[in-house]
Amino acid sequence: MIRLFFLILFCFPLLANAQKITLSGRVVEAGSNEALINANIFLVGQGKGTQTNQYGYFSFTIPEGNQEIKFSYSGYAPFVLKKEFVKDTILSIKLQSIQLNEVIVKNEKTREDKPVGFISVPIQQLKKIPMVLGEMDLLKALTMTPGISPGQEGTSGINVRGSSPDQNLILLDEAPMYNTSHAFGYLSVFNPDAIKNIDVYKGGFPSRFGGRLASVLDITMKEGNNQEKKGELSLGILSSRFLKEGPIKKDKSSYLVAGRLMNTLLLQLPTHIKTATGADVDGVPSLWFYDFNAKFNHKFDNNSQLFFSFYSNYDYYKNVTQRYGNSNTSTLNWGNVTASLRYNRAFNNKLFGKATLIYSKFKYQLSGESVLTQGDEKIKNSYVLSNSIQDIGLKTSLEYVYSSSFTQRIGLEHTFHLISPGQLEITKDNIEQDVSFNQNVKIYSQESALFLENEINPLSFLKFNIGGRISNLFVNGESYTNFEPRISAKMSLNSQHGLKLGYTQMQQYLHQLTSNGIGIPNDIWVTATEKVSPSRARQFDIGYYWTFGKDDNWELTLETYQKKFTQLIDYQQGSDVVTEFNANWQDIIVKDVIGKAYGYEVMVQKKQGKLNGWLSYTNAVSQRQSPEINKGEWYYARYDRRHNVAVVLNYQLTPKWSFTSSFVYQTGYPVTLPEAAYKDSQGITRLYYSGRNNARISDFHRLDIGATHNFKTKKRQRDAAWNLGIYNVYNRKNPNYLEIDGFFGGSQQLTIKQQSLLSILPYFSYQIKF
Amino acid sequence: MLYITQILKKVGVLLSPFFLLSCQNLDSFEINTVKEPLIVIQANLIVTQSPKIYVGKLWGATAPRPKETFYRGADVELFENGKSVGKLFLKDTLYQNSNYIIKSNTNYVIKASVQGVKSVESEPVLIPADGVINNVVYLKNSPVNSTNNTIRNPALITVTFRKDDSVAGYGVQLLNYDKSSKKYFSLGENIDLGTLTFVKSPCLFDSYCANVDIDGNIGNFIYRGRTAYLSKCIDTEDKQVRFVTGSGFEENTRIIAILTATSQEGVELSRTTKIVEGFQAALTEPYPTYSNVKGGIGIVIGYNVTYKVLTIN
Repeated sequence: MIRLFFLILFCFPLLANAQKITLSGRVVEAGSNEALINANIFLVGQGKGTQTNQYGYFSFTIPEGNQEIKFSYSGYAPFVLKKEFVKDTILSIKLQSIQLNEVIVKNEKTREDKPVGFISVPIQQLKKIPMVLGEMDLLKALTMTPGISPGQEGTSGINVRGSSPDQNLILLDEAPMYNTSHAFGYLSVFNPDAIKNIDVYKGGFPSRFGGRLASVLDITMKEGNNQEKKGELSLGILSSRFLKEGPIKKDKSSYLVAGRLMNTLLLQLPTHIKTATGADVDGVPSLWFYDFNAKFNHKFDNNSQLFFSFYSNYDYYKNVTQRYGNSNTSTLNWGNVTASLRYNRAFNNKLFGKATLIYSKFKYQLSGESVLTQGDEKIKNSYVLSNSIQDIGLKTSLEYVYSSSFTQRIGLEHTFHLISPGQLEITKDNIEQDVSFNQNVKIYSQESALFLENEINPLSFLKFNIGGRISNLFVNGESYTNFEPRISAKMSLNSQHGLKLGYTQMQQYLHQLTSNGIGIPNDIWVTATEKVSPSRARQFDIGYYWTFGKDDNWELTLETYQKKFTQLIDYQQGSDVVTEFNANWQDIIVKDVIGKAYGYEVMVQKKQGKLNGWLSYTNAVSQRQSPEINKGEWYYARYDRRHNVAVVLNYQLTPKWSFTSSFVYQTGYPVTLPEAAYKDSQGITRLYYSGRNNARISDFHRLDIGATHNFKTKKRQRDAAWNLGIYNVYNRKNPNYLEIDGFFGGSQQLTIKQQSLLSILPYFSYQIKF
Repeated sequence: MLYITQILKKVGVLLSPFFLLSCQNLDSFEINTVKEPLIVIQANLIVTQSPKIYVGKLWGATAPRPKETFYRGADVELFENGKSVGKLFLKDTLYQNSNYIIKSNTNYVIKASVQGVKSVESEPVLIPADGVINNVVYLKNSPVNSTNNTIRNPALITVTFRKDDSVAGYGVQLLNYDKSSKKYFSLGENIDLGTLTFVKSPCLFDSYCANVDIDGNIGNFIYRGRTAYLSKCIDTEDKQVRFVTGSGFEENTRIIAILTATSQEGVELSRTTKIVEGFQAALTEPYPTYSNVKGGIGIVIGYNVTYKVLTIN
């Protein structure tokens, strides 16, 4: 079956029509030479087009003779090339950036060119949406689009179409990211200044992506300006950030470094010094984070380029009580490091290849330590629960453009994983315990994949992406091999209406075990083993698109999807890696959990004009089932959000002043809560739980407004901006977490309090470019 | 869970200076109404005693405990090996039938219905066979001490009982009658268990054990928290349990050795009861509490209590 599938796929080139002229080259930003991803190239009047790839390269076959080629990219002035083409031609197109205030959707013909479930919102647009304390947050802003919802406030990750955060493949310059949250999820880890592009696939996954069940977030860092030195500095309430970029050798090589630091690190410096010197401190909490991006690239010639990108983020929380030489310390820290070294080469005007060496490491550590001073002796008792995952891999791929109607991609990937799931170290009375109580030994595994992807455009109104992926995991002597077919189709019914379809099968060899209590990141990454099978998902989605209004300025998108999951894992009821610290993770999980998710997503957007924005609504259901949980009945997954509404409005009052507002509403997420109380045989009041996720937290909604004032500094005429706004305008008390409010035995009554942290909140930030 | 909540609280405190006009809000999260009313059955069927069955109701998790937690006017019936032995009637807070005595080696089913609430029926419960205590021996000069060597002049009391494979488990305990306070106290440390608890051993469970007074009256109250042995783990016909006590007994002190044979339901309940359960851990997902009451919640367990009195001279 698999052979036949690939045989058919390989035969497609034979069907491709030979064309005489091939245009190839790059589309870059004028002034910086940054590659423009997904820039559109159209053959005017013939309804044919293509897009640049992730590195700005394109190959486009056209008929010989006088032709009009239009190059466009949202936020940039389009460029039209009228010329008589008589032979293959290499082009280097530079598009000039214009003030982006009006355009929301990146691609002029997004509905035709991208698969069902694809979202791409310009970074500049995402940066305008106000988030916590006015911090720009690309990932949180994406949750204003249909099908994507944030985790509960104070938790990490995003949920895509009813899936768990670990089912999102998040790639930063092709290296996988295992952690996306700063400050317990109040911010995401991506510095908005350093990011060039985010492509989100919720369905219709091309076969070049694999290893996760729910979505792909393909994030590309800026390359760095190879024309002139530039800098940016931003001062916010919560964090401050900088960016510096410039040429190492003009037109040839460039660098970019960017960093972000939570302002608390500086504010709490005196406390840190006090703690370090052994002075008395009483229950002082401290929290800080940083992230750092660096990228270097070198262009050997017009056809080959080398990139090196590095990224690191780290969060640190500590609570110390120190008195009379005795101390109690709790710490929680987590961080991710990624690096990728990539070589791109256009072998000729039709063949493009790349090889990428990737590295990624995520570590999470929870620890507690008490030191008791007795005379001259210090007695230390401590525990450290740590979890880490480390990847080293190589990804290679070739892309061959046979004609304007047929492009083929083939690739091979291999990754070594090293996973340390929930390892526990204990020191008792200064003696390190030899035994790892939970026997959670390190696990080595190897994941490899071969993919083939065919973009076929047999008719001007019809486009297919048909492919397949064979993946394999080798772990502890066990080998899992799977075939994942991927099919998506796009059909233009006429110039205004279109349909899209997608069917994909996905395989996931890594799992994140998520506590069913309040879920700050005490989640551990584990791998499929000889005892635990990989998870699988099948997804079918269908979409309808309608552009209307003057200049097709409005677009209506309607998508519906259905997903089935098999072989998921979850904790047994009442278990997690912290409460069952002495158990091996494989002994406290339920295997072979099945799941289903379905729903529909509607988005209406006005793409241009002084007033622009969008309204999105998602109706989604996500359920799980296992004979070992809730007596085998279907139960709602934690990621079930029935109703999601988001409204984003932008208004450009003057060239200097712009305003933005956003409103979000989400059904409360499912939680496990006591439903009732009863008296047991001893007369004691006990709590009754009908099962996992039997209740829901209160609904979440919030309105934010903001304004941006752009101006030039007086002395040096530098671009600068003030951002002002109000978060949570009508002071909604959204649930942050629940807590038990002091139970006193006599009252026999439980009191639960809901904590709301972020009430109405003005914010401001200042940015300057130099 | 508590730790995590504490962290979030501290983070809130930490971030609050940044929130300028922001302040933290604590609102009551109320679960005052019961979504679906259920009948709660609690019954310890003890051989030689008449059945006493609690037919309770649920109330909202955050609501105050009602004055009456039981249903009045419930229709409660007891079945012996599939045949009805009659209705039970409310007396004080329990449904009772003083004309009937629970028998060993017998299956019982309880059915209960209340108007407007789904009827319930317990799974058949097999009452354990009569226990046999072979002997209770006192050794004044014990060769062993308690786990932490805390007893100055340790004595040893051994209780040997006969195992019956039809019984799920056995709990053994010693009681001492204090003449001055006229109260019974639990006595001795089971040194074979040491610090081992039911959580760590698949062969032990946390049992409800009977309190028996010197005249052989089984107390109404069944103590929980006694380590008990699973029969399937006892590989000999007779099982000896050793208790270390102090040796300073007065003359004619009478020590009561109690053997509580428990039905399988007691073992199952023990397996699903978590140590950290309770109001303070209300937001932690619990193990599903075992219930053998179809359509409702609660537990029906069978017990057979045997005792032997040792007089120390």
